[in-house]
Amino acid sequence: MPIEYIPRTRDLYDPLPPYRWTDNRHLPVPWTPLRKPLADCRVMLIASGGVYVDGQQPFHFKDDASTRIIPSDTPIERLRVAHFGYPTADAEKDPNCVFPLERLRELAGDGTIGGLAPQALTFMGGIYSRRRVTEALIPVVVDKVKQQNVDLCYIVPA
Amino acid sequence: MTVGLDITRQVRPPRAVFVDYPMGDEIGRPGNSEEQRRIVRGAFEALAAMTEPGMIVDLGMKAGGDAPDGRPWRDWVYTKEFRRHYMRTREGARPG
Repeated sequence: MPIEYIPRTRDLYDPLPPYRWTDNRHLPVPWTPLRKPLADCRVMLIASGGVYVDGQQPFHFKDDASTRIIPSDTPIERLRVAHFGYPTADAEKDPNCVFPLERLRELAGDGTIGGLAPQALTFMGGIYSRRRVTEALIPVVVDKVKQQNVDLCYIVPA
Repeated sequence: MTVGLDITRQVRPPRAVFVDYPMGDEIGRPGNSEEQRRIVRGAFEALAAMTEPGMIVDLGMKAGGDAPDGRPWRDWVYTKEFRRHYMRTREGARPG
């Protein structure tokens, strides 16, 4: 059985009031068909695991809705992780666990995908305020995606 | 990608690919490039099968390994004891 994170999160943070998870079950699901073969698609990596590049400001943990741009040719050794909402030890050892930049470079290299966007985008997903997510974070993410002129976004949560 | 099926079923993104791995290892275990490759390749291969909005494809991959006391990781991850040892607080400290 897969882990049920909603009840587990409720228990984990008890006696705090239960987190109000987004529930879109009453809404239509947005949909854009894939119009190109994968081998022609430019892909952008977006990840919420708190990854940043050495020298950038690390994420803080109080509803930090900021983003970091990570050039897609960044050496993996230069990536760092700051996040309070999941155990980061594995990602600190190997950022590919939550930010698979090297794996995507391989797919671009062997022609499985058409290429990578010049920049990936990260943020720290432990944001309790849904208002900050929708008003401060998402518009920035949408802007950055549009700037990269991509066909697909590969989104990795953590 | 998702490791939390219950959350994803509620949020309903246009497309999702599930692996039964702990949060923090969404793309596999550290240093295991082969496992990471299977997950990422599997996700892109699943695109062709996701023809309807809201589909979730299960890659059928399950993480092995146990908690330090020998229990399966599923019984332990994201519990209070787990948090005390492996997660930070919002102040940046270990809950201890």
